[in-house]
Amino acid sequence: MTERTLALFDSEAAADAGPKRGFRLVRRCRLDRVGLVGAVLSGLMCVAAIAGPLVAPFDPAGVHPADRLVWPNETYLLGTDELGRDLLSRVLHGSRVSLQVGVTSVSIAGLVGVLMGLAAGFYGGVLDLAVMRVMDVLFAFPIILLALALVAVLGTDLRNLILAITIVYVPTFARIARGSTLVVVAESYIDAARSVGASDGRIIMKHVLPNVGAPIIVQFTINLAYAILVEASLSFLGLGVQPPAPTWGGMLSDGKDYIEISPWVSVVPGLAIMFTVLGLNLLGDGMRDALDPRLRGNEGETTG
Amino acid sequence: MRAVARLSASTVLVLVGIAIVAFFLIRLIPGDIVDLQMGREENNPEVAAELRRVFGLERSLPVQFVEWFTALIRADLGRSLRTGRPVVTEIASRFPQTLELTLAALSISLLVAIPAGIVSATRRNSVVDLAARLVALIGLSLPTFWLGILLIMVLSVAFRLLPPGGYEPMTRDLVRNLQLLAMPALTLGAGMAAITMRMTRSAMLEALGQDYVRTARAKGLAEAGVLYRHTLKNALIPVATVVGIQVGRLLGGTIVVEYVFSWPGLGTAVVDAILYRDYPMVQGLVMALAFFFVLVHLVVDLVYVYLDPRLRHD
Repeated sequence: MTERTLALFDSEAAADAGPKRGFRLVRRCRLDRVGLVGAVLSGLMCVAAIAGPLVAPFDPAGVHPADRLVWPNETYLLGTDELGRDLLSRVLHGSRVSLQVGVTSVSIAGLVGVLMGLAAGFYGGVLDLAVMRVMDVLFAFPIILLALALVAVLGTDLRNLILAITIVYVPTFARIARGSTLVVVAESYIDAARSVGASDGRIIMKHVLPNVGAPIIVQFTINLAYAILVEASLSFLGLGVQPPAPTWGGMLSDGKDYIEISPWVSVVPGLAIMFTVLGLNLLGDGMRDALDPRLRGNEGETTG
Repeated sequence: MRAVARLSASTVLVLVGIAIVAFFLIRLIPGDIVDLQMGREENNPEVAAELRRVFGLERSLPVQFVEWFTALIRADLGRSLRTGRPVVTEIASRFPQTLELTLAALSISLLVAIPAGIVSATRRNSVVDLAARLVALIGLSLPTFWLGILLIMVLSVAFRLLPPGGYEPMTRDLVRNLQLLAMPALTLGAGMAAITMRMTRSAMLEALGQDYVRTARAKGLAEAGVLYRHTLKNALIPVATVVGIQVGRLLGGTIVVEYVFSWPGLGTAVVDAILYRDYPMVQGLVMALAFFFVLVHLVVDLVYVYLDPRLRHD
C-alpha cells in the first residue's frame, strides 16, 4: 500500500510540468537502475563510434588472405571474416556508420516533425488537417517498406539512406508534438500570455516547447534505436550503405553464408546491434518513467 | 455506427493518399524509369521513345495520374518488367505465402505474449515476472534477421532439426510446409511477442489497480472471475491497439524474414523487384502491402469500438 501511495505522489510530481524538469531528469535518471544500464550501454556505443576507429587494431577493409575465417585469437581478438578482415576493427568502424546514419536522420526527422506538429497543434484548422492527413498517409506504410522503396528509387548511397530514414520518422515526431501541443494550448496560462500581448512565436518558444520537450526526448531515443535497426536491415539486404564500408548489417549478410564453418562472423555484428538497440531502449524506458509516467502505455509506435 | 462510418471514410482517404505516394514514388527516380531501365549499353532513342509511350511518360503529370488511377481502380497495375506478367497476378500468386507466415507469426506471438503478460502482472516482481520481462526486453532489441540466422545456426546447422529455408505448398505436403514455416514464423513473431507481452503486463497492472476490481473482490468474487471478467477485458483494449500497430511491423518484418529463409512471399518479391529494378512491381508491391496494413488497422479500430462501449457514441 505504501509503495503504491508513494508511486502515486511521484507520478503527480512528475506530471505537473515546470521549469525544473531538466533538473528532475538528471536527478531521477540517476535513481532509475534500468535507465542507468541503458545510459551506460548507449554511452559505450558513443565511445565506440568516436574512439573506435582510432583504436581499431587493423584497417577495417584490410584483407589478410592467409588468415581467412580465423577463430578469435590474440592477434584477431574477435576473429576474421571470409576475406581475412579483422572483425573487431570492422565492428568498431561499423558503430560509427550506424550512429552517424541514426543520429543524423532522427535529428532531422525530429526537427521537421516537431515543427510540423507544433504548427498543426497551435494553429489548428486547415493547416492541422493538411499536415496530419499527410502524416496519416506516411504512417500507413510499414516503416521498413517505405525506407526500402525510397532508397530503391533514389539510389543506394549514404545521403539517400539518411534521407529515407528521415522521411519515415517524421510522422511519429509530428504526432507526438501535435498531441502535446493541443494539451498545452488549452491551458489558461496560454490565454494569460496572449492577453498580455505575447506573440505566437514567443508563446510557442516559451510555453509550448518546454512542455512538449519531455515526450520528444523519449521518442528521440526510441526512434534512434529503431533507425539503427532499419539501417542494419537495409544494409543486410544490400540496399543500405554499400560495401566495402563496414556496416553491421552488411557484416551479418556476409557472415550468413559461413554459419556452418564460422558462426562467430555472424554473431559478432549481431551482438553489436543487439546491445546498441537494447541500450537505447532501456535509456528511453528509463527517461519515460522518470519524465512522465503517463506515457508508459505508449509502446507500440515503433518498428524494426 | 457513426464511429464505423467515420473510420471507413478516413480509411478511404488514406488509401487514396497511398495511391498518390505510390504514383509519385517511381517518378522520384533521377532521370526517369526508361533511362534507368535501358542502361548505358543500349542507347537507342527509338526504343526509349516507345518505352516512354508504354509508360505514358510523354503526357502531362495530371493526365498520367488520372490514367494511372483509373487503371488502379480496375485493379490494373501494369506488367512486371522482369516476367512480363501483370503485376496483380504476381502479387496474387505470392500473397497466400505472406498471409500464412504473418498469421502463423501473429498466432505464435499472441499465444505466448498474452498468457505471459497476465502471469507477469499477477505475480509482479516474482522470478517468473523478472524472467519474462528480461526475455521480452531482449526480444525487443534483437534484429529479426539476426534471430533468423541464429535459429538456422542452432536448429538447422547444429541439431539438424529443421530445414534452413525454402517453401512447400500446403496442398502438396502439409508436414513439410509446417517444418519450413516454423523458423520464419518464430523469427517474425518474436519481436511482436515481446512488445505485446510488455503491453499486456502494464495494461493488466493498471486494470488491477482500478476501483471496480477492488469492488469485485470486496463483493467476494472468486479471483479467477475478477481476473477474466473484470480485468482482462479492459486490459485488452490498449493491447488491441498495440497488436494492430504491430501487424504493420510484421508486414515490414516479412521483407527481411522471407529473404533470410527464402520464403517466396511478397517480402522476397519486394527485395527481388528492387534488385532487378522492376519498378512497376515495386510500385504495386508497396501499394499492396500498405493497403493490407491499412485494412488491418481498420479491423483493429473496429474491434476497439466493439471492446470499448464508450467509443460507440463518440
